[in-house]
Amino acid sequence: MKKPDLSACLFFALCCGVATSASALETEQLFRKIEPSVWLVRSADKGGVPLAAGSAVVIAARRLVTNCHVLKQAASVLVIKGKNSFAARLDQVDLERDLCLLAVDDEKFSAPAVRYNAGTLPVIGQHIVTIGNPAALEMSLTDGLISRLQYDDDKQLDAIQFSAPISLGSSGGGLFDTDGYLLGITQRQAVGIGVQNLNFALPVAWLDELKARSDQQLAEHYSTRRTAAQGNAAKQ
Amino acid sequence: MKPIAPLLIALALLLSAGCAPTPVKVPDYVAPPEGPASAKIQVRSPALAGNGFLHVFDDGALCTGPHQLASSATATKAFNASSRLKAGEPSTLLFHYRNVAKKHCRVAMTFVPEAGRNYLATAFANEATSCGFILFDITDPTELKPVKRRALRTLIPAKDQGAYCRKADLEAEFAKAARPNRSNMKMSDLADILPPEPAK
Repeated sequence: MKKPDLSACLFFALCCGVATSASALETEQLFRKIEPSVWLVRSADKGGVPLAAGSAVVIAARRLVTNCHVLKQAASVLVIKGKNSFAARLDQVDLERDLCLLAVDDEKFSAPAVRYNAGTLPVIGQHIVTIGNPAALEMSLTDGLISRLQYDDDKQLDAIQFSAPISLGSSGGGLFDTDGYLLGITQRQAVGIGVQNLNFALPVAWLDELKARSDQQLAEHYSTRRTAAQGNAAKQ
Repeated sequence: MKPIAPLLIALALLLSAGCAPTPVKVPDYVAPPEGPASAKIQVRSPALAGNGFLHVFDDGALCTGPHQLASSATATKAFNASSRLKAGEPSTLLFHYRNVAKKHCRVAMTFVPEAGRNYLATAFANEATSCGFILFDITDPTELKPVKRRALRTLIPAKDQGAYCRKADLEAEFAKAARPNRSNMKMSDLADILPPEPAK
């Protein structure tokens, strides 16, 4: 039997070692680059009792996007990173897409906005990372692939399926490509018997539509409320 | 043999029968006449490891008055059928699957057939008693288009003359179905933090 060529094995092992280190370093750099833009969100009720924890991504100066379901029943909202905590208010809301924009009025909030390109579609097989606060464990990094792109009946991108693990508390976090560009907002995971690692993010292109859709939905909400109030007044 | 033994056996049989759903005889479906007020529907299934039944209701909104549109004649047979549905009003299709171990699975879907369209319901099931069907518009035979305006219905235990589905606000159900996997929140869930009305 021919002996294995140890020099070849050693060469291979060294190459792999170098390659692994380089890859890890790149991911470390990537994390350092985008981590300042991802924050923990905590909501509380009127009595200050904590309700939920989630994540939010800075997409413009003192503006962070998160999932609306993180804010359900909230009376107050904080965005937190380490020992820094800022009060946030709801600025825009797109309930249909579960996207809400938080505003921080305190000018001391100087977290950098992420970069994103609304016109760029993710590609199946593309390597991605997520940063969020699963189970309120601040700034957890996971990685994986774009598994699938989900389109609606009108052939518009509806959700990005990916394989990087997320958990409760990851909602509102960022899905990034390896250059640090935001691709989506991590929103949900499929759960159930036999279901494993099916995670979904909302397309980043929706951020550009948030203002218009928020205005529309708020206008409809206030209009409905006014009509109901007028109806009640007429009855009395 | 002491008399207690047959009594125990009888009691065991009674308890077993109580666990199984009572078979309900469902009359055959009578399709509306062909014409401008109807749509065509085809039902297809692969060979099922059990029995499959597809029911249509007299009242698609309330799910009352079930009728059998298609069934597998015997276990492990596929079923295929062609029929017509009333157009322009809610039609509820209920797929009922019973596997070889007599375990049941049911799923119902409501949609509004459009006059002159041709639909295809493809049923599927597996041994773990998960089951379902997918509804396509196949009016253009070169393209399988999933039917847009449809809603999965919440089922309740079947009764002889009663409703099979929860009474539904179908508009709300359709709206919900059109936004799969979205938050089911309302603006009132954000009442305390909602921004003011945007300036016009």
